[in-house]
Amino acid sequence: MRQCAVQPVHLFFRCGLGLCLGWSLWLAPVAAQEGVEPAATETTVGLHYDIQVQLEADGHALRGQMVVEWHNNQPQATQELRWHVYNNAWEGMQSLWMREAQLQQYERSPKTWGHTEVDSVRVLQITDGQHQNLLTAPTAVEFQYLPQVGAPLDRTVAKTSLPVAVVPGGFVQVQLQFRATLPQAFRRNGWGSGGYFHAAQWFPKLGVWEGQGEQVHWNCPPYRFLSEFYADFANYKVAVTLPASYAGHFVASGTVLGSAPAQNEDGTITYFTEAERIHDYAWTVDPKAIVYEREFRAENYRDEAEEQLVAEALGKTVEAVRPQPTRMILLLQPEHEALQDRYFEALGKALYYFGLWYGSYPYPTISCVDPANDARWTGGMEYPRLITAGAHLGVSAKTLSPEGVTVHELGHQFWYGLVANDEFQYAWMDEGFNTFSTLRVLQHAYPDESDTYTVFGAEYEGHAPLSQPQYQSGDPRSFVHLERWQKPDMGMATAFGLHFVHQEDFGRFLAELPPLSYVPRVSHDVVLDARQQMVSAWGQPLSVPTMDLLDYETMRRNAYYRPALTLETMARIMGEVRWLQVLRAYHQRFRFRHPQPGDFLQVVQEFASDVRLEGENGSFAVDWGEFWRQAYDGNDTMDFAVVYLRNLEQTSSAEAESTGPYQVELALSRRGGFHLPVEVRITWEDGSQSQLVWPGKQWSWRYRWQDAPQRALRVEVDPDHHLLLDQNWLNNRLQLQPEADAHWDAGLRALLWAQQVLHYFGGVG
Amino acid sequence: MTDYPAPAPTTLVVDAMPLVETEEAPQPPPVQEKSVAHYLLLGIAKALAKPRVLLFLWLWGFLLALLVAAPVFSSAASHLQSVGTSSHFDFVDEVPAWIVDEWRRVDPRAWASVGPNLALLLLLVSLANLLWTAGWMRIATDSAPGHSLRNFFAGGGRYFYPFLRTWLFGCACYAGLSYVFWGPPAIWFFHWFVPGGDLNLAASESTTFWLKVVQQLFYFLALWVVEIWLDVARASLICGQRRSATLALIRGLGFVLRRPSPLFGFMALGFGLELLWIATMDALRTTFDWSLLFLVLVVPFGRLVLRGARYIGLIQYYAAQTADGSQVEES
Repeated sequence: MRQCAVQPVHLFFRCGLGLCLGWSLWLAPVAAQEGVEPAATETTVGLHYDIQVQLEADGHALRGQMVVEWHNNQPQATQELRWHVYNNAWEGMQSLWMREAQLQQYERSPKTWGHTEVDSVRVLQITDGQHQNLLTAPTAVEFQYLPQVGAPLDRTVAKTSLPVAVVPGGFVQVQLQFRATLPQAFRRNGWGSGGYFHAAQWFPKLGVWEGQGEQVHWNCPPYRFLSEFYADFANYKVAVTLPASYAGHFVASGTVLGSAPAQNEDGTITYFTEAERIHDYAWTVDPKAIVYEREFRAENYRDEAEEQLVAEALGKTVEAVRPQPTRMILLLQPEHEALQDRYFEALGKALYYFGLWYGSYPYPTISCVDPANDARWTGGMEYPRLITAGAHLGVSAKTLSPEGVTVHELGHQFWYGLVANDEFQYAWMDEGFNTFSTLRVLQHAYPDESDTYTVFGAEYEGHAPLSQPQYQSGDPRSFVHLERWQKPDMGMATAFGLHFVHQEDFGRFLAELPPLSYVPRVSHDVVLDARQQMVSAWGQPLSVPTMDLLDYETMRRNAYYRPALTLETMARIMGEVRWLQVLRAYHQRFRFRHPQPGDFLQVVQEFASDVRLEGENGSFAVDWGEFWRQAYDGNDTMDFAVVYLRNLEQTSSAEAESTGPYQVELALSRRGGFHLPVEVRITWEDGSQSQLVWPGKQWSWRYRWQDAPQRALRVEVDPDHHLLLDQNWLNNRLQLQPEADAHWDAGLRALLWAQQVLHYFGGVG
Repeated sequence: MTDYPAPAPTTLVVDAMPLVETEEAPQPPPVQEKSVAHYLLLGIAKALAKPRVLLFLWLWGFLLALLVAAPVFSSAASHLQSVGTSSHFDFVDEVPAWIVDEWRRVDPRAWASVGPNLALLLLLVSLANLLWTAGWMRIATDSAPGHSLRNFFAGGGRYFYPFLRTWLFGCACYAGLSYVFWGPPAIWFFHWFVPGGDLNLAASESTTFWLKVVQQLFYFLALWVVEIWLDVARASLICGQRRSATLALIRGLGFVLRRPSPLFGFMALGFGLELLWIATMDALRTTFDWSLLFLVLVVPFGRLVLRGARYIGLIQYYAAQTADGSQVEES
């Protein structure tokens, strides 16, 4: 570590013992557990980090020292601390992460490895419940890595045994010195060749001492392929020392103290930062990038209808529900200058809607990083008060890039940053809620999304009705397509492949002539689009811990889209006002806390137990416990379908006079195991409509009007598309006189496209 | 005794004193070089004069395309008639993405059939085009009147195998170019600009962007050169009534190297007219809100005429520029 001028914070840190005493009694207000907007109560933040770190001259490694003060807020004593050392996942193929990646046939690995070494650990003090120090002098202890099942050399979890136990109400102060070498950008952290450096998971971080009753334990699993992170809320003071060329090119999870970095005698600079009540800390520097700042003010993004709705749901005034101002900071690559407004617009709209629905963003700043081109691995990730997004040159505004990823990562400030679930086990609780919320923000803020195609890096609106065949490497059919010939390895000569024609954007353009043959506009409703992630069988229930899921696809489905579709289904069944109350209450109750899966159901049952579906045939309550049992613990699919609609003319006029001219009968069936009451709508000849409710428990259902005055023309089950979990909406409606001729145009569009492709390839060779 | 023709007047050099005969040597009449546009227009006229051939080719293309589109049409008829949505939904101008996704998810078999069908058809049309190319070129060299398809097919049949050999050579060229532009040589080239030749590792996205653009552009140009070369070689086969594909390729290469500008100009003009035709037809449909059926019927017709015109015009041009010209009559 370079010598540098002693700054006040450095001195404070070196004194060690004096650290953070003012923090030990620091109290933070957190919402109480009653009502939609609970009254404030108080809980302590029992964890404090004071870190000094210096980026070494090579731009790849950090040398740091930190003092951690941890308060035991649980009713059980402990004589050890557990640490995450996530960065050691990148020290070689022996880590559990890399091993699991190999088992999942994930073939990538860091181009240069990274690792963290903890040089020393000293326990500075351990207090009893009355804050009396139980140690006579600082004591050196061992930083002991814990071998993991399947990866005995994994070093992503360590423990330090303490000289005496930390009793409930007591605290321990530990000082660590460490050196962290980050990998070349890979899976969330690392560096790029142009000086870009993204410090995430860069310091040893305490696990969470949690549990109930006698079950209190250190929740500190190793870093695994399918998992993300989990930590406790803490207050951070972080001093980052950098080469002078990084001045003005720095963003962090903390608020930068002072208007400029401190100049050190050795020519380096130091940024002093602070952050309160966050559970991770990241920072990014890039000497090429430009840092922009704008003020977020709700009045610049107003959606009056939504404000009215939220105000009504919460019983407040419109002014009271508007989000509070905050500072938006963007670290942008110079070549993405044209995207500056789009980035800020996305940040602002996300802050607005998330704040409107769930309560204001509580921190003074939010920083967004546009990663360097060769460090895109670090993009699309969330840390408290700092997110990384990503964009490409030539992107059309129609494709919502970088808007989509920016809104999503900012949403994590609310779902993960504030409501901080255990991502190792319940990734759906942040990714699912956030995917649901992201889709809704995009639906409100960007209604004009549509499909595009790319030519020479620029995007144009349109979508191919069909697609040219593409085969996996080794598939002999690719030879027929004149795309590739793959010779398999038969022992005599090694395998090799031969590409006859390379499929690139320009070639596709010439073959398909998009302006002629593509559907000019394939418009998106991002909420409905999420249904494309559905599969005919779910695979594993949502309740299976994320890190134990079978594969990446299942994780992606169970953590992101399936819970998002489940939440959207619940929202549509109970109605917007009720839903806003549920989510607001859940969010406020668990802000700065770690909710468990059952907590959400409890809030739902509290606010929506009286939701009923009304029809001519009666009123039916929705049993949310049963719904959740099927959606979360169970694995059944949902599919309601119309089987038939029949109008039977009465055989005699006398019969018609006595009962009406028609008998009308409809039949519905349930093709999946998931059952709940569902709405059914019938449209009559004169345009009038009737509403029924099918309780949905039976596998099929018939309903008959003996004396219908007219014929029924159409029957629809779930007519307003409330049930996003329904596997097939195309069988939800039956119309005796089909009205759409879209099938004809769909066929013609496909024909026109095929003509052009065949004509083009007819002239090749 | 044979009467030998009088010797042509010559310039005599005697003691470095040139004695020039007073009578000037007769010069051949100046040949007016015809523009490539002339040949293209000639080709269009000849192609339009063969409606039966055009009709046959149009039907051929239509039926093959129908094989691809029929499962889609059938599936759409089953699944989309009762969808019912308040949003605009017609596949002509707009369709909601969720309906397309839903349709594909619910009926994956219809979509799965497109790939294998299309792959086979692409191979088929590429090979069949050897017949059609020879047919058009044969028509260009044949002054026989009439609209029968006989000459068209006779040309195709007679020259199919020499053409097939050029086709195989073309495949090898394509493979070679794909290797050069997308394989290790390209990586070696990119190495000068990007660490490891990996475009993803460029510190600047602009570098990646422009390298990709140049890569695609030059790849396409290289393929185009090969395609012109093959067409010229085929023209030389028919023009000289030859059978050797190897010699034809050598002659074709020489011809392309000697006359690159007219050849590229000719081809570019042909493609330009094709583009104009497509754009005009599409604009007409949009303006008058006609059905997509209009495009299905009309666009291939124009494209076939212009492709035929390119083959006819090319062989006429080749004939005019070489000694093989005696085989070809302009009509």
